[in-house]
Amino acid sequence: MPDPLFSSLRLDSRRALIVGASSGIGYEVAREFHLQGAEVTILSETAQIATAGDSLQALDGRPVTAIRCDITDTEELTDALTPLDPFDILVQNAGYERLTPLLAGPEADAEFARIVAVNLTGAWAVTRLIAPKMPRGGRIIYTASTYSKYAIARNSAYAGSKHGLLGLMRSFAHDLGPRGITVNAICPGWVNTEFSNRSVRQVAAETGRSFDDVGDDVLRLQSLPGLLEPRDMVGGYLFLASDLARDVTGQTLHVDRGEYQD
Amino acid sequence: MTDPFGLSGRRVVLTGGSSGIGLGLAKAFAETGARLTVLALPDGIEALDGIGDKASILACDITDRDAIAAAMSKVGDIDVLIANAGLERLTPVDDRSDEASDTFSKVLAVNVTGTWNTAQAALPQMNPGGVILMTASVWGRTGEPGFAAYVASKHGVIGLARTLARELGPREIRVNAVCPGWVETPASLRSLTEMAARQDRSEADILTAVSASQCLPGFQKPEDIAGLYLYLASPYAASITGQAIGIDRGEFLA
Repeated sequence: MPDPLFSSLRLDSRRALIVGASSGIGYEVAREFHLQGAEVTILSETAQIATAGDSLQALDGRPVTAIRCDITDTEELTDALTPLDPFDILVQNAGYERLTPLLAGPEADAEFARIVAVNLTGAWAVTRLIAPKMPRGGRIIYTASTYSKYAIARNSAYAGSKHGLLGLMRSFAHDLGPRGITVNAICPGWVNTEFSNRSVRQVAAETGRSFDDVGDDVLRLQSLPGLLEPRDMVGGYLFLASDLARDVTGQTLHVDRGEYQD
Repeated sequence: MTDPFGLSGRRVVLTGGSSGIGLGLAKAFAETGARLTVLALPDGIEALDGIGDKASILACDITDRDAIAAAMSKVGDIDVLIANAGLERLTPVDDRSDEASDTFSKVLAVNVTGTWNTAQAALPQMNPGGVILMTASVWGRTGEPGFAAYVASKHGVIGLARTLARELGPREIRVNAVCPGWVETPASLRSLTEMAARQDRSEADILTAVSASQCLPGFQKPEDIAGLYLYLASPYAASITGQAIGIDRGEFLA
């Protein structure tokens, strides 16, 4: 059942593409959009995307299109997206997070390039393929990060790419405003996903501390106690996708339990 | 929009509800079925006749600490406090008259101290899960010639929201500021007239410039921004606190 609280936020007949939706935040967003009546297409580079599509479809029998594609492969991405009908809503949630310590060996160079390729160039490539056909009233929502606004040690590529993503978002808000399309970003804090927890584990390993100890450092930054779950992120995306947010564009919405104040 | 976020039955207190953005909020929250109490200056009460059957209306000046404490004590428990009352006046820096100085003090008294008074008076009646929303402004993030007091006060409101978010987070009370851009209200139209006179431009010329400064052309009315307040007041913004959130058709990109 769709959440009854969102009864006036129905997305019936709206076509939504959620990129990076095989698990975590992207999957939960796709799930709620699907249950609110949107015609959902999900995309990810992982094999899990097919299973994700099946689970969404099993919720109510309505079809969901699942596409396996690496957004850093422009040719593959172009082939995958070009034949599709125009989308009303794009959620660009695909991301890649690894630590890139400044003083690490050459392996960090490859990680740096990959992070920028997914988080920044990938967002550019996806938007370039979707925006030209997006109708008036369209919505583009990027998943940025609290690390779009500040940074920690060893995190240059991720923080750099996520800071850059906001620049992209703000420019596109100007580009697409005259066409009546809004462009915004959501900045999650630390969300309990494999994606984020991997980084916490890595910091713990590199600093000789426990996972909980490193995690507590993050939680202490929050005004509201408690660890975010992927499901907690959904309301922000649904609000920005809705008609109620028609005058909101070029903004970042921090859904982070008050970790970073903006 | 009726009740998109399930606010029916929630106890909502709104200050500055008799005109402009506040009146729009009063109508929107009344429509949700929330148990709404609107505080307004005595001379503004009449404007609320239309929603009188859906809300309790109390006359109150938020710069009077005793008055606001008395008003809040009549309300009982509060789930959502919207500290919206504000005063917008021109205060050019080169006007050194006593009158201008009084205006400066009055703007700060209403917008900053009044918002503080409001939060202080309501807090004893707020529980975990409570929400405080403050109306700031796009001018809480940028400067505007001639409006030093208003701009400083709205920067101050954002400071209050951030501080109270940290202070009340452990009690599970969320605090956020909303930053509207140019919204057509009696206050903004008054400022527009004053700006036009001061800058020797036509009002139409200024409005054209405002629209051109936005990503989305066009102008907002109070009903266009109520949705953001409804969302932030709801449990679906349960993880959002300490934020200043713009709703300005892309005028200031934060």
